[in-house]
Amino acid sequence: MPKPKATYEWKENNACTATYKVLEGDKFLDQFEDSEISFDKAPSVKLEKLRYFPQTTTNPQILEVLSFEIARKFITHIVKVFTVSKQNTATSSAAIISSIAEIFADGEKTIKDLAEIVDANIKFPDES
Amino acid sequence: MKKPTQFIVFALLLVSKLAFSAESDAENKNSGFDFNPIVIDSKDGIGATVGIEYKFNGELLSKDFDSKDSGASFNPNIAIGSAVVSYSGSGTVAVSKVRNPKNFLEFLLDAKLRYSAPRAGSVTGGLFSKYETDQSFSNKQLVYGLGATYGKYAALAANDFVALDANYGRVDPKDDSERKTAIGTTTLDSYYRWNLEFLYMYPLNWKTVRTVEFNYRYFLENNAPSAIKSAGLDKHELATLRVGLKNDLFIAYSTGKLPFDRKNDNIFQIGFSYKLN
Repeated sequence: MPKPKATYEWKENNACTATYKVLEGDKFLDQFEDSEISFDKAPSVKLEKLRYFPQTTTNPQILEVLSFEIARKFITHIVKVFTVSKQNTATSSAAIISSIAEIFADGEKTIKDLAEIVDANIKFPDES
Repeated sequence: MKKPTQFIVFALLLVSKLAFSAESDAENKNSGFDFNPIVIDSKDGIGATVGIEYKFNGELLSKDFDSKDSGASFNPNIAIGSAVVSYSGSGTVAVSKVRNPKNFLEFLLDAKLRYSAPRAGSVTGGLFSKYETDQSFSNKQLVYGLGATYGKYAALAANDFVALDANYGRVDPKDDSERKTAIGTTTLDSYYRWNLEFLYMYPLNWKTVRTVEFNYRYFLENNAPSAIKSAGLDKHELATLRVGLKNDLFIAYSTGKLPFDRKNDNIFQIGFSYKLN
């Protein structure tokens, strides 16, 4: 599993724009409005502030199954919009989805953290 | 505690949390302890109190049993499986513990298998061991047994989420004053208990209302003695409806009680949500 770099730069590459658009888009996960969280403000927004994150329970089992569900949905939307492949052919698709689920399960992680793990594991057209 | 003092304490909690949060934003984001300052008001006349909701969790061991697809092609529909040993804790601690209607703290250690597949949803299941107590640790018990959790995203509508968590376990009461009083003894025997939790979340695209969440927890003692049934200690249930608003504000209404909670109650909560890194 490729490890993300120590500092990741939020910029208008495919990984960051895909992460932002899939989280924000009404036709995708619709987690926030672009009028409230612009692309420039997005990297510091914590995932616990998004609509998918539960506030009436702290049950870790529920949060765990939720994170796998939304991670699969998130990456499925990305695959539909972009022509992508693995960054590392030795990494399984399941391991990539699990690493994205790990980010979604941690409300302290940010949108930039999510883009970083996407960029570390998924190769976009602007990287070929 | 008088109301003006409670508001001062709440304000101090909020300000300290904001200051701590702002400071730690610049540092490490990976620590796992969260808390929210809250005001709790109940309708049974015991009055309002301020306090914090806290939670923490982490994984001790993890082993994947995933399908190993090779090559550059990425498959979002692949099945996922793994074995995990994890821990967690959560609860509400009030400045005035006699006024805390959500007086139930939990610490959990579990070993489980998990499986996720497209369209079918995600499930985890295995062994658990849990320590339950109240804020003063005067009532406490150890629970261990089997549990399973199922969850599905986009179950009934786009981007909604539904989950059901079910556990069956043996309860070893270390101290339980209500139970001792009901049975009329100073020693307590072990018993078996069902514990169910249901969650439904629906995102809204309104100007002020962002999310609606419904949570329901149910505890049922298996073959409870008649004295326990008469005292109403054989089952506990708590339903919570939470409306998430703009700017991290929320309104929540709870009815019922969990084990060790003070009494059947209707609880209103109004507050802000912030996290401590």
